[in-house]
Amino acid sequence: MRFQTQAGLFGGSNMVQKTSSLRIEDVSVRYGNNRAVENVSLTVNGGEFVSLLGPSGCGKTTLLRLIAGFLRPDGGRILCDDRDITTQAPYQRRFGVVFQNYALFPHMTAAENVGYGLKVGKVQRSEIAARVSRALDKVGLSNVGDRYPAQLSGGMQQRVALARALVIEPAILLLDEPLSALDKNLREEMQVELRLLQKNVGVTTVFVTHDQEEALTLSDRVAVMQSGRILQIGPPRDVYMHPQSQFVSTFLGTTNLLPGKVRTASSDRVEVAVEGYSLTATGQATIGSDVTVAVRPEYVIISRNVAGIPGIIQDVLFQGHRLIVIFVTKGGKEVRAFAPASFSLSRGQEAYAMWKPDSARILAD
Amino acid sequence: MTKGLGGLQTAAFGLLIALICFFILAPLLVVLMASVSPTSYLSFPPQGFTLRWFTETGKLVRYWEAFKFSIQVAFFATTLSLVIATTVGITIARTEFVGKAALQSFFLSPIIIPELALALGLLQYFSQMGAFKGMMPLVLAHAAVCAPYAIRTIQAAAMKVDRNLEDCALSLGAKPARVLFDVTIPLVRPGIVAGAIMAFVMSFDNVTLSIFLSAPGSIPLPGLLYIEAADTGLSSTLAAVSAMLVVFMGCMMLLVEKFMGLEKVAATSLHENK
Repeated sequence: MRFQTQAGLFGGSNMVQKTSSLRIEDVSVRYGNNRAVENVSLTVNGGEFVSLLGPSGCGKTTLLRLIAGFLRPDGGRILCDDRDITTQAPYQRRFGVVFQNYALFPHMTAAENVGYGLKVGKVQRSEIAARVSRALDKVGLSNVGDRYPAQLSGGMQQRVALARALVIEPAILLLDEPLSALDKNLREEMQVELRLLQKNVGVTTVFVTHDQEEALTLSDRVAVMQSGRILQIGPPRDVYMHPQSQFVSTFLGTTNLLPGKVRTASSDRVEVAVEGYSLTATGQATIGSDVTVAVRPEYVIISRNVAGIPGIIQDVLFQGHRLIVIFVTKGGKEVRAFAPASFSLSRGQEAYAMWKPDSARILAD
Repeated sequence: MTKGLGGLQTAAFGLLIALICFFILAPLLVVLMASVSPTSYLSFPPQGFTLRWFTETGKLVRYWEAFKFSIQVAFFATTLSLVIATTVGITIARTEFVGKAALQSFFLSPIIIPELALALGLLQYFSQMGAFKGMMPLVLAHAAVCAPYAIRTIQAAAMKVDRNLEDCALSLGAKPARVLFDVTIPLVRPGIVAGAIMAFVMSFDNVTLSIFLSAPGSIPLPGLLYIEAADTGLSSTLAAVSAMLVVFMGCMMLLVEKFMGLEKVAATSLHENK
């Protein structure tokens, strides 16, 4: 089940594939009065893996279809290697696409599926056979080339779809939730393999998902989308650790949001009163203003020591490697915290919630 | 209690189904049985058993000629219907345009328009054009009547084809025409086969258009049978020919069943509204 790890493995030659960049400039799509994508700009560098992450209806799939050329934007430009491709048809762009349901041609065998792009590309028959068998080999499916999609498992179909998209050596690889139909174990395994494969082939990749963990695991950069716009884009760690809005903060992982009042503010550090108890957070705010403090459960410390916000432990959930502590402040706000499994905390205990100085942020909205 | 009632209901339902089946099949049984009766006029119940009328029919060249003519007309009408229906069916299923609903209604209109009106209109039309000869008028008329059925089955099949498949083929470098022939049409094929069979049977079975639009000297079998029955009354020869037609159509249906399941054909086509 291992993808091979040498460059140019899907190509006709052994040369390292040249990587292409993609630039989206101020692109919009409207359906009637409904704006599916609104003034989106995005640059994907050569060889980069960028995820479009967001809830359903946020415009991520529409954006992917724009890049593939299935849709024309109502405004803006799309450039590949600084060439304007806005008006090019999908068959001129030839970006490999892997769909959520794989979209394997049901009347063609796995090998015919993989070879289709080469066949229409007028590659010689002998070369097609060689490249198809090499591609199938690389995704670990060398012995199922003569089977039809219906005879393959979901994971196998997924690999065939990937091989089919990569064998044409696309400038850009587009993935539309390709892992979401797989069961959890296989999905996690495929995440790692997909990442390895993408890095080894070196193809510039745009990946659409609603699964934040998947986006964080796979991407060089994550673009979080909502209502047709990109709210924030950056490396997974940055976006996760420094969300700039409440939406990003809650969509990426679990976040505790607490209302507070700013007591003191220096350059990037704020002392904020939550239910009258003083805690620190990063971010900018004016003294005296009402703000929302966001802090991730992994940074919340619940202890019996008298420090932080007092409350009561409502429940403790054992997850094997850790505990989830559900804590309710005196003011009635729920705060979740992860604690090591060895901690002895029990339901109904009075306790205090606090966090490390750099782990909480003041959010704009 | 409920179980007993359920059993009773099942029995009543079974009886109803049996009655309906009998009602549908009874005329066929009458024809089949009458065709082996020794009397020369149509009689039921049969007065004995003979295969005389079948051997007799075999000697009558006009039936054989009419049968061959029917097959030819049905073949060409089916081919023409399929060309029209594949184009229209896939276009309607695949594209959005202003007036789509109107166009759809238009292509289905031969089903709604009474065949008699259609036949008279076409007769007038072909006569004035001076084109009233050979099998051309019949083929065109049959195609007009058969195409709507094929459009329905093909459109239904095309709706079921995942659009991602076509998009995917485009992204792999196939031009739209290529996608149509490599992906869409192969996947719509069950609908095309169903439409072809519907069209063929409709054409082969058609009496009204056949009588009105047959050029002198060449008439399809159903038309010939009707005219002979009207002229000379019901004879056992007619019953024998009809019996052979029943068997022929039965074989056709078996063929359909073998290739794709009769329910599918029935489910994807409109009901005949005669």
